[in-house]
Amino acid sequence: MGNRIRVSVLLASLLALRGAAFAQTQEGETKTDVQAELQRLREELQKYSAEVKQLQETVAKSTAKSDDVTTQGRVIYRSTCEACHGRLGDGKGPGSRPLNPQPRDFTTGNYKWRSTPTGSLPLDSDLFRTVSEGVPGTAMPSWKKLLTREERYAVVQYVKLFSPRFKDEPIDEPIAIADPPPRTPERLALGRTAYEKNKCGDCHGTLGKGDGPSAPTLKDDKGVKIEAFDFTSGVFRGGSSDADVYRTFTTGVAGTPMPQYEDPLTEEQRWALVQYVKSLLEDRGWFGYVFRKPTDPW
Amino acid sequence: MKGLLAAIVMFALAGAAHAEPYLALREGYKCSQCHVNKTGGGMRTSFGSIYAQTRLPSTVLGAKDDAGDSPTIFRTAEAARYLRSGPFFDTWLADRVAIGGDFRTRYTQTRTPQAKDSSSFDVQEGRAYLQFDLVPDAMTFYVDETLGPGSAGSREIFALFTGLPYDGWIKAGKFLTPYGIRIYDDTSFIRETTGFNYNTPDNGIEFGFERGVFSAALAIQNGTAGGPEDNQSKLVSLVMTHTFSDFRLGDAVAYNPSSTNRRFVFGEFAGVQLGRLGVIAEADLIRDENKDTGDVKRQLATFLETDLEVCRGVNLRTVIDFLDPDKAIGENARTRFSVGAQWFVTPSVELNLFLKLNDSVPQHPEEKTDFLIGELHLFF
Repeated sequence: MGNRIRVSVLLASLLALRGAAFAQTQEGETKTDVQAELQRLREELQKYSAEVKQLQETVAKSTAKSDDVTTQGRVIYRSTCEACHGRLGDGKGPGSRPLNPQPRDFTTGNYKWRSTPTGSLPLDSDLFRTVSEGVPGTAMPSWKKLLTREERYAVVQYVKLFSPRFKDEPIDEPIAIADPPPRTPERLALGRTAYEKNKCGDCHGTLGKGDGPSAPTLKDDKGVKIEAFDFTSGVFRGGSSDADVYRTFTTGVAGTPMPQYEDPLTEEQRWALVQYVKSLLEDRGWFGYVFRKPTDPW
Repeated sequence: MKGLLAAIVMFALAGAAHAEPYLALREGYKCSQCHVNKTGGGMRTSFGSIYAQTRLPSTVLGAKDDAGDSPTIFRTAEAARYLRSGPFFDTWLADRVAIGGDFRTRYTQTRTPQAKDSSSFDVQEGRAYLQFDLVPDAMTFYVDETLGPGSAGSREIFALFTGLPYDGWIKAGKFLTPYGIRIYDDTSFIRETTGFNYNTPDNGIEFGFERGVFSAALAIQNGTAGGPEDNQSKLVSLVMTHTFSDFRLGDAVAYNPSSTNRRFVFGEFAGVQLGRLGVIAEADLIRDENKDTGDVKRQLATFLETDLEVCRGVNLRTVIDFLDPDKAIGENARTRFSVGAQWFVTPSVELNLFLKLNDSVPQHPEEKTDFLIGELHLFF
């Protein structure tokens, strides 16, 4: 076939690549609106809380018993979760081995992405949100398009059965998240000071690339090696809005060396730290787009 | 007439796509992560099925409106087992029985020197899989059945024993010979010339294990590509792979003596993933010795593939194939340059568009036939 076809194919490829990189840049720019982010997160949390509440009420009114809901959850779990999280919910499914981070071990009741304080069990809406949105940059997919609300709710109820803690322990109230303060150079400097003073760079690196001196030694509570988070990627596993990152700093990441900073840092310092780590995002253009692994959720 | 014949021959050789090692490279997985057959290809595991429905496609067609206020229905325990509302496709019919399938149909346009252009529609592959776990995590009965085109028959049918020490397995029955990268295209010279491809399953037994980053499979088979055994000799093949998150390296070797010929094949393969860009390469040396005359013929086949994930669900691919069909003869090499795109539109639906440009010696115009291929692939 002629040169014309070869040139056309090459040009089409370059255009597609450039278009994708442009779309990525546009997405990054719109996410800088702090107030809009917070509003979106609040709406999202409200939506999930409202949905869970509605689903709970429906279960209470319906002829189906709670056993039916967990049985439905078991059917869903079998086909969508068991491959990684295992039949016993211990995170040792047949597909779990090469995954990093490793799938959650439901038997411990420790969950990374919570709106509740450190050490507390998560709310149903926290689990519902994780199942729905997935965890960006990991093998945990977003299920909101493939499973109905009822199916996601049912699987949350089934997952809770793996840990006796859900039967025995009360769940704490979620932490309050106030309006984020405006971005100012002073606050950015305060965040940098907090980053240095609390030795965040030991794990995350001086420039936040996840390459600190302690990074190679990090392990989760199962003794599996894990990577320190790279702030320059701009995609945070617990959610990328300022409020999401603030929540992660406040509650910590259970089962990992990432501690909670509710005690050592004031609210003002945590917001400043949020602003600082988000300022570490690097725009690497098309080169970064090609040579960096995608971190959007599955 | 000669041109038409050449086109038909080349069309038959255009081959079907079967497995996608670039996806394993992209994610840092071994073949067994997504395929029931530990050495790759064929039916997908539960993880592979989930991956294909979540990570792979551009979007999910037919998804329920997440924000909608459709009536909330909780099913009774019994109904929940059989009735599903969401678009997720579950391959498990029962606790121990799973199914799968592949269907490919394509449009091909061919252009051969000194012949008229031709084009046609064709069904490439209709295939059904069955996995029956006789003992969970220990013993599996597996069938890969060709439904069409042509006559039906088993491509692979074997018993798989897993859970052995060092994550070992034993496979017994009819299966694909473990050798090299199980790439998507049977017509690639590294698969066509070595003779180890999806069209040549064989009867025998395979031992393998996966330990950390290392995996190995050793197979002893009749060496007749599934045909009747005609001598006491056996094909022995061994493939060893180191799999890291962004890099893999492997060796493969096979020895197949027959009543008239001794064939020795040796290959090296590797893969590197750089962000969204993956590079896969393999080189094979094939040595054939005629037992009667003592004549030796050596061939060299190489393969270089690049894959770029442009955006979710869209992959751009380039492939360069090279074949020296007889190293004793100069200026007889064949080359092929392929470029194309794969689009995983939605779970279970893939569209492919590929251009394959062939080059060879002037004496064989049929080996210079170019193809433009559009393919629809449905799978689950």
